[in-house]
Amino acid sequence: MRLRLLATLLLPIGAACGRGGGGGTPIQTPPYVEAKEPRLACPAPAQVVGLNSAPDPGTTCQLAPQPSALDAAHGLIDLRDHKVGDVVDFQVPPGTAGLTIIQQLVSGGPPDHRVTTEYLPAKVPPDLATSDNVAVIGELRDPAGLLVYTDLTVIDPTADHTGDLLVTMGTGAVAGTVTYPSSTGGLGAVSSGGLAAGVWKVTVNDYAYECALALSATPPAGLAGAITCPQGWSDTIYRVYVLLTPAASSGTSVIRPAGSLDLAIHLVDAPTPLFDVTAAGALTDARMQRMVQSYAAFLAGAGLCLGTVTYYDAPDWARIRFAEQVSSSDPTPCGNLPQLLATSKPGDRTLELFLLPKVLQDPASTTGTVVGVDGTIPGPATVNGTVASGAVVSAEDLSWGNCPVAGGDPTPRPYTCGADGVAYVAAHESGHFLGLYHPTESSGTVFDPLRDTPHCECTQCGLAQATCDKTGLPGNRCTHASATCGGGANLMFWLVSSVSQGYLSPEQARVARSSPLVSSP
Amino acid sequence: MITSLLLAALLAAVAPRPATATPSTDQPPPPADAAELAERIEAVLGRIHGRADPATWQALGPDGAAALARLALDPSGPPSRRARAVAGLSVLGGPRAEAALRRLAADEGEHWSVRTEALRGAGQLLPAASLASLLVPVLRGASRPVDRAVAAEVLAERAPAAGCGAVRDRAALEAAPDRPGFTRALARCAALGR
Repeated sequence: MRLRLLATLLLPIGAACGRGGGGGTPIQTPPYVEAKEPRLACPAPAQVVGLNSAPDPGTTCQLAPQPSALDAAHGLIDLRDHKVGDVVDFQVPPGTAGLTIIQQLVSGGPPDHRVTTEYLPAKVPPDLATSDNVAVIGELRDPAGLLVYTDLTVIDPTADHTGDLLVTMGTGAVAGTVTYPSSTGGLGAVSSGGLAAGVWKVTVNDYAYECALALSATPPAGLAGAITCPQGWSDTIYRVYVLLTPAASSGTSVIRPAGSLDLAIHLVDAPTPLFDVTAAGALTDARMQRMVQSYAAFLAGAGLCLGTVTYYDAPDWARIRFAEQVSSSDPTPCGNLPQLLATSKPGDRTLELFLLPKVLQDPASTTGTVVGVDGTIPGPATVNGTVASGAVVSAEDLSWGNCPVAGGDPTPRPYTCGADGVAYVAAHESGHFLGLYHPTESSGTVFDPLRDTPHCECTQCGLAQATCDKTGLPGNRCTHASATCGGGANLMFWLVSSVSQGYLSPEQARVARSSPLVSSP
Repeated sequence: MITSLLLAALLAAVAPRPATATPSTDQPPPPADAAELAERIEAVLGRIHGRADPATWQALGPDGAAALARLALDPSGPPSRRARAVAGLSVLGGPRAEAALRRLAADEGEHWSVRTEALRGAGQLLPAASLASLLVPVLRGASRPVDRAVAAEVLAERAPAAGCGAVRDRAALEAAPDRPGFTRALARCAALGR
């Protein structure tokens, strides 16, 4: 996925800011203080009702490339259609703070958008997996030829990736997105003056093509002996967009100090309503108003103000199809979850949230639910209508608990107020869409690529690894003023618990504000 | 190239899961005390998008089912967590689990999420004969269409011999907007020749 060498080659900031507090004596080490981005003071968002009259596609699977809401004057570079393996040039002008590359499938590739890979034991334990044919760039090089990112190698997921320039770990088939900067390394690299101006080069790529490369006579060094596949595909064509995020016009950072985000909330209730909110009713519904107020508060923790919230009633056909039949493990891009996300409205510069009565864990009629799921990390910002364009949130708890009235106490209470809990999950999923990972995954062994988010390391926090592997890392073990047992209250921690507060770190906030979905306030 | 280990760790929430890869096959020791059981339960019920597999529930230890039953039956709890507790009961089984599922599945006043989960859980836990006696009345008499539709689906899947006739009868009575909720049940019955 990336060359670990990059961290030491390219970024000198790592050693001085090590997470573990290494170096120095205990007496000289200052107490660890978890970094928290202050919440921005924002005006109340505008709230309007929109019309979603999308026609019923029937059994047609929506996979077609969609336009960006941006145009060439506002940061869009349309690189058009390219085959995997193509190296494509694009021009980055001076004054650019970040870039996002979106690949959308045009044609070709495995017929079911799945690929089987065997990971060989030289790098990781033997591991045969069938997964999405992940659409992810192969390499990215800056004007000096510096390798900013490569996917043509296998990584150790438990290693420290904070120094990597570009990290992507959550993209999917058909529509894949990477954003730079997404890590401490990337943030450091752009901090002084932004991206290098000039001609950048990106290699169009996906996992199926990596399989073809691995099977070739001369596989890339990073894949040779690391993976093998029963089959590969070299014919896939992707439409490629580059979205440039302009540097801030003032201030000490090239990343804008504040931003604005517009939100679309699609109400996908059952035909006979369960959570019973319509788009028109949402404007005065106490639960929805509280939910939006708390969502805005969480967003303000990223330095983002909520601009306009547009409520949509899902069309009848969509309510019938999706309200009770979306699962987080739909196996293909034509499954209900990706196809629901594909109903988002192309051309809008909005973050798309779909509120459902319930989100199943599996498509079969078995038990198990989740409360939120995102298309990809990051999402295809500004490109709605794809299989990854948004996130789904459960409304199960919307009416539950004791909630302050909307306009009242602004402090969210996600553990005791259902509307705040829904807002918390919605904000968490929005964080994923904007490029944020869980600071600590449930196993307590895998961490995000940001240095100012504390780890919660399973065995360092009093738990057996087998416990974390099976039931997950509990939040209460992650509340210490410590770089290795903290972060349980962070918005992007892997679960909601009694300790959840929903703040973000400064680096998380900067990554979120780097998204091209964010506009100037 | 990202390993499926990493995908499993990171992407259960965001993308179709790979077919393999859990970090460890070791089952942890049972919780040492009530506090440890409580924190394990909180970690299972509070997950945002992580999966809860049978091994997850079994890691709650011998007192897990009783604790989950208390949570599932507590009407003051958040529905999402209560529904997940029901899911755990359907995996762990035992007399307490069965009693809780029966009660919640039959309760017309129960929250939709909790009741539909109990209906699905009953399908996993109960033998076909007693399943039909529990679910056919729900199919015929529940006031919420979603309860009837889930009962139909579970009957078609787990007790088709006793249930498919009732499923067809009920589907014919459903109002047009709610009839599609029976599609999968009817298709399953048809596939089984019932």
